[in-house]
Amino acid sequence: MTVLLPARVVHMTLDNGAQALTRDHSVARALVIFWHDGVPLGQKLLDESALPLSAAQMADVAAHAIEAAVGWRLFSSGFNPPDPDSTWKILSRSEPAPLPAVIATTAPLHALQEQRRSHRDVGARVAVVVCTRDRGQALARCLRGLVLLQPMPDEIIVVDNAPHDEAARLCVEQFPHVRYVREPRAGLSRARNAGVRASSADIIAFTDDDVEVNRNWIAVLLGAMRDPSVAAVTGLVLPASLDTEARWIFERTLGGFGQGYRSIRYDAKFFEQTCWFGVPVWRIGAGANMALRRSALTAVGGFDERLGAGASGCSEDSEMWYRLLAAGYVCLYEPSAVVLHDHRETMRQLRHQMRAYMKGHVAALLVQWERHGHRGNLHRIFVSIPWYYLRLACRNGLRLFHQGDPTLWAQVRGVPAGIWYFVRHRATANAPSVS
Amino acid sequence: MSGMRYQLFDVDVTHPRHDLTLAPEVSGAAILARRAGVPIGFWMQRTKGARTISVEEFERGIRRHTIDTVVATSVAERSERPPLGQPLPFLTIAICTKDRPLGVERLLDSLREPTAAVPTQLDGLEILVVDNAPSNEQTRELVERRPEIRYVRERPPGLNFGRNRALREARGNVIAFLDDDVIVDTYWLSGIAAALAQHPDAAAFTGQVLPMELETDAQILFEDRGGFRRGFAQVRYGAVRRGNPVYPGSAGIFGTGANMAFKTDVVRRLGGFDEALDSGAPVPGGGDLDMFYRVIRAGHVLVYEPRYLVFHQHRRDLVGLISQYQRSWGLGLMCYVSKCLTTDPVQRPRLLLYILWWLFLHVGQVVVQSTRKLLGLPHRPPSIYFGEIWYGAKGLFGGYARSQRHVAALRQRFL
Repeated sequence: MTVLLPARVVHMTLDNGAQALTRDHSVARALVIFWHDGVPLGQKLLDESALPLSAAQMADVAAHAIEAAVGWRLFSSGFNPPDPDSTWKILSRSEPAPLPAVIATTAPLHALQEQRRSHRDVGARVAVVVCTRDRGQALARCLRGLVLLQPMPDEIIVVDNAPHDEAARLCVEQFPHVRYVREPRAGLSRARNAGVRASSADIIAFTDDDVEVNRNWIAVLLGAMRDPSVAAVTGLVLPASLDTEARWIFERTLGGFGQGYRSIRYDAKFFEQTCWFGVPVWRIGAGANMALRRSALTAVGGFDERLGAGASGCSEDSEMWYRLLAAGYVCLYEPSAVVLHDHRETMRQLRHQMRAYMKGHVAALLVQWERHGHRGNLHRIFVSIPWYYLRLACRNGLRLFHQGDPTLWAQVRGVPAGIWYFVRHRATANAPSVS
Repeated sequence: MSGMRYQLFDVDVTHPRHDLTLAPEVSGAAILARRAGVPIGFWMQRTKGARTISVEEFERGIRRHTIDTVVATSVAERSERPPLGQPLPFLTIAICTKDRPLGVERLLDSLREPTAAVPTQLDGLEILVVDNAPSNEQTRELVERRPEIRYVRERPPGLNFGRNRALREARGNVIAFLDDDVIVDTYWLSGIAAALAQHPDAAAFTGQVLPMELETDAQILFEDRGGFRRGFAQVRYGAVRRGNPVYPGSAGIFGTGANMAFKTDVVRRLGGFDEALDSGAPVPGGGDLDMFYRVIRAGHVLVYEPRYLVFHQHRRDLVGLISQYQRSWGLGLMCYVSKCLTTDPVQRPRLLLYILWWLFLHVGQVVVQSTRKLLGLPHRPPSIYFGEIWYGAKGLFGGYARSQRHVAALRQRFL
């Protein structure tokens, strides 16, 4: 008996209606992502046993998958995503959509196209910063995508972080528009800060070496930055492939990076209302797909050098959003800005990553508590997280409705590691000026 | 609480909207909203003595209950979804009845318009009335006045005897079953035609069932508990269903036998309906669920199509309703489940989980409704859930075997 691959990722564009989907006998499932006119509108996970589906049958699948995102883009109300600041998501009910507009809707996708405006006339200069470490091949693929961006960013900077070899430098030399910067001290925050210092642009977009950007990525990020109160924009991170158990578990059981297909505005109200139990800044997005405004970075300081991959493990991005929100800026999640991310390939790598995530997350909570004195961060470490893992462990033990999370123990071990990390680095310098 | 009556409204939201005027003695309204003929939502509301539902309130209801369906259907319609008015394969409409000539007449009248509207040559459509163990000749006389309709008589009493007779008699490629207590919607036939065109690979189709009238407490109670409604979105059911650990044992989600259709050859190959279920008075239920389950387990696709719509006349009296809950929903359902437990060992864990879940829901309802009763809040009689549990237990423990013996005796007597 052949072992089926967990899933395949299918990108289906609806510009000319839905298309038929044939069955692939080598995989168990298909994650179908629906696009229209370069904008992702929804996704649907199908078992391969439910395939093939004709174009007419796929049309119904697509309609239900994209309904919320389409409604949200077309109507002023009725299709809003749950309020980010409400603890009780079920209770936050928005006003239904305006009736005449809904009834008059006969070709919503066409209406969407009409509504979309060009993003190209933003005057700001934009730089893309890619931080890398000993991943020459992945970097080359990432850069090949970046030079195809429409419009081209004003600068592309690769920050080589404490490399063991010259692979990254040699790789960058093949791309004439890309600048190479070396940051000898290890740590993603240091690399990001070095990238910011090396650039002169007003808006700095960050991505990682293990992602591939969508062609209109910069255009969408710039469009979202039009609103001057927005200091940070994040986007949708989709899985590049789901061909191993580890990638599949990361995307489905652990939730992946995706935050949905409707944009969400995180502002001072969100910060105030969630502060008592620890502002859930990790929901805002992922550092692999974000842009920051230089003026805001100057005001609140650079990335905290204790945090991030190569140091605490992760969460340098969410700590930055925390600081921005605390200073009264707005963070915007805009799903039209899409990158494809290569999830960790093996279970060993995944366990390692999940431990690092939890360690970094706990360290970031303590850093936020240290910097702002908000007790909610401690509440999260000592109440919410233990409670969460207790529940998860019970569910894992029962295994009735749930296939279990094999990285649970790795995550749990990350919690004390994060506390210990913070204790050891309490006195060290942080958040240097980037101007 | 007693003596309630709800007025039914069938409104197209694309037409000019105005206040809905209620008759003097009604205590509520049930509204079916359509958009260019396609049903998009149904909701019920108490009116607390008001004589009208203002246009604003009505529009609020439309917005609350229908907008997702509207957006989804209009997205789908821009794509390749076939519109209403598709040609039909040779279709047999089978009406199984027992001593309800008025119901049959009402149904045949309602079928006249839809069968005329669909682009089908008349020989591509047959209507078959199966008169099951009648106590008089009224149904035969009534059908004989309409020469285009075929009449057959099936002597052993039991709905599934009738359905199997229809299956033997049917000349169509597709057989659509209707109960004698429904009338079809104007778009009923074009609804199933569209679903057939969209899903040529599907073997079974079920449709939406809405109330024909809400004239008594019992009918309102039944509809308020969910009735036979299965939503306004089309669903394509296959071998597995993500996120449903009791699928496909929980066959009630597929629809109901009052409005269902099958590819004739598929059902014949599966051996027809199980006569020990839906066997008339002894086990008046489970036969439709059993067939849905077998169709799905044989690897076929079942499609629920909301445009394939009928209106059902619910039991008017509370005693009849309670008996229906006990015998059809309790006994019939659990006879079907216990049959699956023996015939389909692979599914046993899921079926047992389904039984537990069903029990949990019903015990929960007994507790909730009893508490509401004690607190003087609006409630449904807890006894209906309790009765269902009791009869469910009867079905689970030997009910199916008893019914098989009963049916075997019937076969001997009549054949």
